[in-house]
Amino acid sequence: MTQHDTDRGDVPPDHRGADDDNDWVNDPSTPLARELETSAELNALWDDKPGLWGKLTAVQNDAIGVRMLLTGFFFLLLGGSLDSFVMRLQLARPDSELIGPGLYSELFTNHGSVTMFLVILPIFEGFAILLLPTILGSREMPFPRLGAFAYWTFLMGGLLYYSSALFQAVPNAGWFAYTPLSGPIFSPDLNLDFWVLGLGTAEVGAIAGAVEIIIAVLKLRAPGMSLTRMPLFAWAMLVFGFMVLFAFTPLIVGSLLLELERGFGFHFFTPGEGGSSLLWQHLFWIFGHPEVYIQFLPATGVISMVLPAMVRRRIAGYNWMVAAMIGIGVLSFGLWAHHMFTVGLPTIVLAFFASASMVIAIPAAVQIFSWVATIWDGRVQWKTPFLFVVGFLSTFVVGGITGVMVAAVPFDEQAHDSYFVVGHLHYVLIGGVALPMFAGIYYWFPKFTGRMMSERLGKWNFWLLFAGIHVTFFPMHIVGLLGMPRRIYTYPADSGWAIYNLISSLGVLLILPGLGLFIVNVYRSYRYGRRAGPNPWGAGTLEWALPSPPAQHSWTVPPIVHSSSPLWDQDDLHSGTERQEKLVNAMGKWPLKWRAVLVVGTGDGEPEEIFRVADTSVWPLITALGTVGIFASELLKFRLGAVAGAALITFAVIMWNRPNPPAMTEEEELDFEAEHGVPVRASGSIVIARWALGIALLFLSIAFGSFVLAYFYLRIENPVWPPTDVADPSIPTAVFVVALMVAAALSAAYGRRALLAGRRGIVAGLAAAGVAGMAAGGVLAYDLWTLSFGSSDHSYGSIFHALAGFALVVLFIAFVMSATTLYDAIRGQFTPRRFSPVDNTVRMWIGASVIITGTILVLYASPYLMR
Amino acid sequence: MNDANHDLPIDDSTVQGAPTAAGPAHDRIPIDTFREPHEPAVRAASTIGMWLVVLSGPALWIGHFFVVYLAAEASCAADRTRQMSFIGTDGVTALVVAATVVAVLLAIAGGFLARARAARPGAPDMYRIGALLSWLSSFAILLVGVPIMVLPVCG
Amino acid sequence: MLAGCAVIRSQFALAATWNGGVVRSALNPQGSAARRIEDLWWILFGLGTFVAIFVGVVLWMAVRRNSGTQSPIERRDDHTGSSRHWILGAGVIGPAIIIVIVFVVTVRTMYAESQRPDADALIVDVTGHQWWWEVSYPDLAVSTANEVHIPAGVDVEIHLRSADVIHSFWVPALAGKRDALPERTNTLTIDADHPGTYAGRCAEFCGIQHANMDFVVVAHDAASFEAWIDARRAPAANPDSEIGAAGAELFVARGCGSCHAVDGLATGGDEPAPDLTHLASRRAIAGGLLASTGPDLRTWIADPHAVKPGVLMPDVALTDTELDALVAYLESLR
Repeated sequence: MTQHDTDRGDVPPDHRGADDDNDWVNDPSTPLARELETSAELNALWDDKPGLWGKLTAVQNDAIGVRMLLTGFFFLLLGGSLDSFVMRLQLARPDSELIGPGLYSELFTNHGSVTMFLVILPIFEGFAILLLPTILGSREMPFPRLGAFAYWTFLMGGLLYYSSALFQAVPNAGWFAYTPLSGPIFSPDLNLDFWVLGLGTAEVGAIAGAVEIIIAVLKLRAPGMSLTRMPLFAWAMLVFGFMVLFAFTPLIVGSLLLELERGFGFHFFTPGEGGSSLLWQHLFWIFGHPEVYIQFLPATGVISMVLPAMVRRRIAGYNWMVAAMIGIGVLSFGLWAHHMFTVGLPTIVLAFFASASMVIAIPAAVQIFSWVATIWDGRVQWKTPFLFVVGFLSTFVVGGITGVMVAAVPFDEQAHDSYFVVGHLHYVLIGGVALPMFAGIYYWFPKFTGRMMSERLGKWNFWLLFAGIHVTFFPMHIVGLLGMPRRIYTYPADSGWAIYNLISSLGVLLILPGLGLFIVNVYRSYRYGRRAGPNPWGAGTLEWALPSPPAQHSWTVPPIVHSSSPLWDQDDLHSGTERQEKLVNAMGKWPLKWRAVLVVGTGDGEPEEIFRVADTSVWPLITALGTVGIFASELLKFRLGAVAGAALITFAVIMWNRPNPPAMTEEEELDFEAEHGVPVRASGSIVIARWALGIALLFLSIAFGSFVLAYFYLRIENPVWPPTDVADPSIPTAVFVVALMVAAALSAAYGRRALLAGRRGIVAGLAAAGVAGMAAGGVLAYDLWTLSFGSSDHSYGSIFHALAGFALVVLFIAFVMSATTLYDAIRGQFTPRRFSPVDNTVRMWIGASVIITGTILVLYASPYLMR
Repeated sequence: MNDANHDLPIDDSTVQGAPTAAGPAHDRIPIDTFREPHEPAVRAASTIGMWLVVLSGPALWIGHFFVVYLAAEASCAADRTRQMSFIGTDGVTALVVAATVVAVLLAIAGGFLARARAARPGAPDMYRIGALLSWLSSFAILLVGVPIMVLPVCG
Repeated sequence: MLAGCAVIRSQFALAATWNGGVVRSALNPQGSAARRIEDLWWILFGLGTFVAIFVGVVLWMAVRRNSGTQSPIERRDDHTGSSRHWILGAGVIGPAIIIVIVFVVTVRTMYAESQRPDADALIVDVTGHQWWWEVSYPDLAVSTANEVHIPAGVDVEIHLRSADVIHSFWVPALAGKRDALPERTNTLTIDADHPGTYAGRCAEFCGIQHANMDFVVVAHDAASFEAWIDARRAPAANPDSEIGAAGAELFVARGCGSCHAVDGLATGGDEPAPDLTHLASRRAIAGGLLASTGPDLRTWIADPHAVKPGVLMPDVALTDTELDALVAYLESLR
């Protein structure tokens, strides 16, 4: 047994880099993944192309995941540590004149925005994209090109945001950008446009990554891996994905409204024009509070992987843990107004939000004691990852306790916007999120580099960070209670706050070298670290059965899973029922010409389909360029550029989704099915495509719901609605549009039916759907054009145009989808077996009809119904 | 709630590759692809029913929360602008009480349903998780609703 | 533990009073609203400390338990039955009990806060501006800036509003904070136990000079409050010197009066700016950065942006003589 080798500490220098198989760190007692002679061929098949072109077209999950991690970490150094260092220098002494108020506002805005949007999120999405296929026993993420798109938009959004420094227009209204301070009157320059547009681009990337993660966890698993055999990291990322969808979408809608107000004269947040500054706060915090748990849940997923491996015990109370994760995910959507306890909400509303904010402590406590009970029954291996685990537990508990305190409304009236809250949130986000992030990096580093990180440097790294965090952030609680508000660049000497601020600033001097040691450790270990075998920690989950680093395709023969810790419970990773074994072995030898991935049933993990996953492509990059082009041209007030960007996106998305010529004939597919009982889709999945469309429609519905909430919020703030002198909307138009949409959905459905029944009619059906949809759009647009009020007349006109515009965009998407499908239908590409795009087009038309009908009900009918 | 036995040490005996009665899930042909048209007619027990039971508690909580929140917000906005009428503060109180009672009872019923499902032979463990979620939700709904007995609505 | 809390509490109260008679701390409450919150805080603090120690001890015992032993642990083993008891007891039941306690005391405090103030409560309109506070007494026809004078021992109802962006009115020693919004009026009821001076600050980020938007609440006994009101009602003092009279002329001629009102001299109002009728009787100018004394006034007017970068008051080019005159005039506005 060599698994205790790491106890000896670092290898002497002369052994560094020695490529000696006997010297590597490994636990040989666990089973390994089966490799076949086809492994090399599969590896080459799944690899990205070489050279610069290869870098631009890369879609492989390892590449994308590592890029996200590195870029997220780069932004952490820039916006997380550099900014805070300068801020702490400024606040170290009272009446300090080191930097002025302008720079200070920019620094704290940047610090909050970057860490919340550009650091934690991409790092955890990077973890997920890198790890999930290996952990779940799959070969890829379901939409490699979407993953690439997520990375490019995130990177470009971050760069667009940071480019504000070049234009000396750095955002300066706080990471929450409260209106009206962030509105066109009080922030007339481009600063806030950089904030909205740069981060908006990154938010698009976050949602794209979330879609990819949700479907990967639900559908791309090993045979036999039922939901309750999934490692908890997968559960955490599943809940994370849905939360991102439900939280970021309202934020994107809110940001859109803010930009319409800033750049186009709309009124949503301007009092006096029927707007409400509180509407922005609602839209922002419906995102903003779940965001905290969006960051925290993946961290608990990481801890739930690292901790069992370190104490040699499976997690205690797996079911409790899953229930806690789901519970936190849901409850976190009823907490947002606890950021608004002082704005003058109705008393009972305060109580609603206080109760939700307190109840969420129960699932959090379940998690804590599940981990503690796991440690209790296990035997601790004092390795660096475990130090970070213990550091996390002890720090996060304090943040959780102060969290319940600030949920108590009256106490929050004192604590809110004081340094007490600054202390609280850093205990939660550094203790609860950053420390697990480090635990995860120390833990998985050997898997993806083949080398161990240094234990000696790791311990220094931990202790410096841990001490630094507490020295920096604990005094903030006290100084907050002594009356120090947040976001002040200076404070008077007679305030009594000086000593606490000085201690906080000194703490940063511990954190920074801690971070520095981490970088040194990563670099040195990458170059000279001890060799790691497949399973250096003796862990129990699937990724540790693969070689370190794993091949591009991860699993030559997909594993068959009987347990949530298969490496501990199974003697062999590839035995199961005869059918399962036959299937996984077949996948190891066949097909070697295209990238085959197994889809399993959501609940039970039984094979459902084998499909061809997308390969390298430059179109995600071009789509991302189009996206950032739209946002950048809005910054430059070059409106034609936005049209060009939209056209580029449309074109690139069409090209991105052009199907490859099928790699197999239908007969070959049927032969395989007859032998293995699992359908093969060499032309692209049906199941996964349906899931993707379903999630896309969910996204559109959430966006629609956000618009509707905004509409009715403005409605109840304005007693006269529509405003005086504005005619009520036209009912005949409304009926006409709805009828056309129903006709579009029905004709598309007719076409699909004809195709599946082997009759003619698909072309006619799709063509009719396109015409009816276009007519509906035309009628709606004409009505909008001829309205007696404009988009900048009162918030009524603004929200009317915004929501109708959203409906037109949905129609446009459905139309473009329908048109490309029609093109392929005319070319005779679809058969009763290969019909996925038709299927999705029909669903898109149905979804669009529902959304348009909803829009019509809200805009055209509600003024009559709500008098 | 014996949650830990489901995968311990190995929860079915197929390690040696012997096809056994390891539960209905392993033996069935999941998908009928030989029928025309080649729809992936997912025979694999649809999970929709399971998700409905498992997530009923959280769904009730969020539904209840939004109903009572929006009613209170709308009613107080109407009071403040004094030009609209909504259900009034007494109406809000009645609504919150009624909604809370109904939602708590439903959540508890959902919990028992999930437990009953979990007790069936070969049932997925998700039902146990569903029961836990329902208990949590019923407590959470109760805590949201109770203060209406003490606090004024708009204040 | 209660005794421990009491000791900590008294220490905090001591530590929180230092600063030249102006009380700033939320832990040294001087009014009933702040005292209610302080009572709540010490309950929260006690419970929180208990939970932190409990988790810490259990975690310590857990990591120590098998750390030294070499007994092989079979990874395939299940957990002992006690692990589930831990999760149920310490993860669910314990927190549920604590949450119910916290929620009950929270709702109790909220109930007390939601009580209407006395019917004869003094009403003060406070309007937030970038970066100063306009204070007026609608029933007494008095207005001032950055100082809220109240009678001690009675309820005062603050009606909050903002003229521009969102601000937040926070006097930690007297009450929790309440936001000043542009679209609606929020009310906050405060009272001060004793005459005294209580520091206040803007607590919502409101732009570049958010840090310097201080104000004070000054509580008087009944007689001195009456006297203060009477003094505010008096017309602006006429300059008693020649140089002061020249300053008054400059005040109008150089446009100061188009924004700043001085009763009987200028109506102000082009842009919002503090009423200067009784400027020299106020404690501070420039959001608390400077005193209202001659040298400070001179520093301020000579270059307001050097003192408070980003402030909306324009630079007015004045010669030294003109400055002297203007300062002399302003100093006379007692």
